[in-house]
Amino acid sequence: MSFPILSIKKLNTVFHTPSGDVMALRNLSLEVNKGEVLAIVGESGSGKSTLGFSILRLIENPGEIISGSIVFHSPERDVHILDLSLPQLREFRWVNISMIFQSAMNVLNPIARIEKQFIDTFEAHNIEGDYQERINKYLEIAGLGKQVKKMFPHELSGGMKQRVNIALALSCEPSILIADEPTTALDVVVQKEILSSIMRIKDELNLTVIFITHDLSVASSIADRLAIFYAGRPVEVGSADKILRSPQHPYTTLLLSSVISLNTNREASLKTMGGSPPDLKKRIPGCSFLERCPIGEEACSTYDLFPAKVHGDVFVECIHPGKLEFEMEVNK
Amino acid sequence: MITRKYLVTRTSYAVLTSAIALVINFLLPRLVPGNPVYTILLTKYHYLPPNQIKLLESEFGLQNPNLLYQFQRYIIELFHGNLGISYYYFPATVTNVIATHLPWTLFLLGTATAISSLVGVIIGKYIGWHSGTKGETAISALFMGLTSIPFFWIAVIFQLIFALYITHLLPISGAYSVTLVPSWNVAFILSVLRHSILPIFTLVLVSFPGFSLTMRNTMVNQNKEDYLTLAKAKGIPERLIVKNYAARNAVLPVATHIVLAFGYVVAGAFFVEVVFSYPGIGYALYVAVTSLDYPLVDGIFLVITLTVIIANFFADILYAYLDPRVELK
Ligand SMILES: Nc1ncnc2c1ncn2[C@@H]1O[C@H](COP(=O)(O)OP(=O)(O)OP(=O)(O)O)[C@@H](O)[C@H]1O
Ligand SMILES: [Mg+2]
Repeated sequence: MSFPILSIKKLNTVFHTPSGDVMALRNLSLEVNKGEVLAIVGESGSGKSTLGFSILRLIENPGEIISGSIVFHSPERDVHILDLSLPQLREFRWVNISMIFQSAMNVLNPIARIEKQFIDTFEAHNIEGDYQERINKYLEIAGLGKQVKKMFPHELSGGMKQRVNIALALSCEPSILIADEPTTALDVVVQKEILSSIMRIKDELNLTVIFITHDLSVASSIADRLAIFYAGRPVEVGSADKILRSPQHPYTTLLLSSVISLNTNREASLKTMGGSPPDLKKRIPGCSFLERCPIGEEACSTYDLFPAKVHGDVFVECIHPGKLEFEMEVNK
Repeated sequence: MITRKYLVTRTSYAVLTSAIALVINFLLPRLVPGNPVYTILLTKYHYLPPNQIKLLESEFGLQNPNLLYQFQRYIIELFHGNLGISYYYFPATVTNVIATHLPWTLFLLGTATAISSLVGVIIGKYIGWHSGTKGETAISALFMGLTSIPFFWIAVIFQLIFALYITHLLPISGAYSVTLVPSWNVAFILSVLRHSILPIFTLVLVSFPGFSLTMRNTMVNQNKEDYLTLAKAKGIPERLIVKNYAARNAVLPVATHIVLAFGYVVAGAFFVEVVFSYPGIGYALYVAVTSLDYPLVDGIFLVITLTVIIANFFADILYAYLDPRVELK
């Protein structure tokens, strides 16, 4: 049986820009189960990072979380993250939920030794025990040697910095790790190594991982469940196996077919996705994918966004779940 | 990080610039038309006694007009601490005059720069962190105004206030009370401190707003830095984020600004010393210029140049100490 560890309900996050408000997350609801790897997949600008930042309440000017709730279910109690006072929030961060940032190359303080950046975190949370031992342990888990402790960020390679970030994110033993494109900036070999070390750590530490990526093949190699993001909402959520085997949302179908055609290198006999995502500054009536959807129709423009449950635990936001996939199978 | 290589390159830069400064300092007065010996004799005797000409020419090393010969002599004399003889303070040597005036200026400038950079950085850190608020906008505007006020104007205003309205509260001229003999006793030191209040306050008032504004700007830019986001995410208390993350990074460019501004403060010290009749090097320069005391002008310029070079050298060292990345540049 799976239990939710994080429940997000009707979350709205906007960025106030001079040319209008960008609705980066639109009434988003999502549950994350304890111990799973949930991959958030979507193209650039779909709101993946905004979700990660919203969970830790790191959205800053010009951004704002305007409504919704985020609840962290710990064994002792439920924590309503958006209702925490600032001191409570400070204590809550990192020991419960930590994050590996997309901009990993610049997140380390350039003028402090690596060691110091661990120690100040431990001190901030009154963590007891031998700090040096603890740092060594997590550096090792992340695949780094002790000597890194005494170094400055500029002395590390990109891959090493990323590993330091992983070690930092784990060092306070959080329940949830948000990993925002942790391998995008790295070459394929390092990427593989880092992915496998995250997976190993996850089992060792009984972590829940929210893995953010634009790369469906990376997601499919590690995720238990997938949440396919489009224009600030998850359009399809469910077990990775089921979604990969039979995608229900047309967007997922097209995303998957592009991955397959790349992997097998065969002539892309399948439909490719033209167009671009909708302007998030405008209110989007009905389905946000309509403009690019091969099977879109009149009714979609008035479709009241609502995740419909299809087979098992898969939720889809589409009037005709599975239709495009079916048509493409037939045409093969 | 201060590495040996860094130290060696910085030192050689300092030595090289000093050498160039020496050459310029040697050449400049010699490019000026006229004969210093005639000038001296004419001002003193109103005619040219031939025996005196010979004597003074050999005294000044002018009997051989070859530039290289003179340069060699100049360097040798310099390394013996001999910068010539002052006309105005005759028979005191230039070295002597500088030695009695320089400590006052160093005291004035050192204290003023220390106070204004400290105050400037602290205020800048605070208003930078709270940028965008009404209070910050008002303070920034005020500081912008303050930076454009000339040194001497403030100095003169203080003179007026303390001479006309609040008399006898603070002395407005000199470095110590004329009734005292310089010595390390309490009365003398107190007198020195009291006399230094207005000049130092003037220097601080005009230079700290600039430091504040630089610090404010670099602080504001910190907000966009990803390491600040990580620090917040890690749950570091705000007080420590400001101190160890934002301010520690923001102060790096400010350190350079403070040193660059040093030259400006030296110029400021000139006006302040003149207005307050403070017996520093700036005052000596004023006297030297108004009395056409070329050797003294020359010597003082050399000292000022060397001071700025030395200050720059220490700034580079400080910068490397503060920023571990410097060795790479
Ligand atoms: N600081 C900001 N100011 C204005 N708009 C922003 C800001 N940050 C994000 N946005 C907007 O919010 C939307 C979601 O951005 P987000 O960074 O979450 O996308 P993403 O899915 O993480 O994309 P990527 O794969 O490129 O990282 C985008 O339309 C973006 O333009
Ligand atoms: Mg992103």
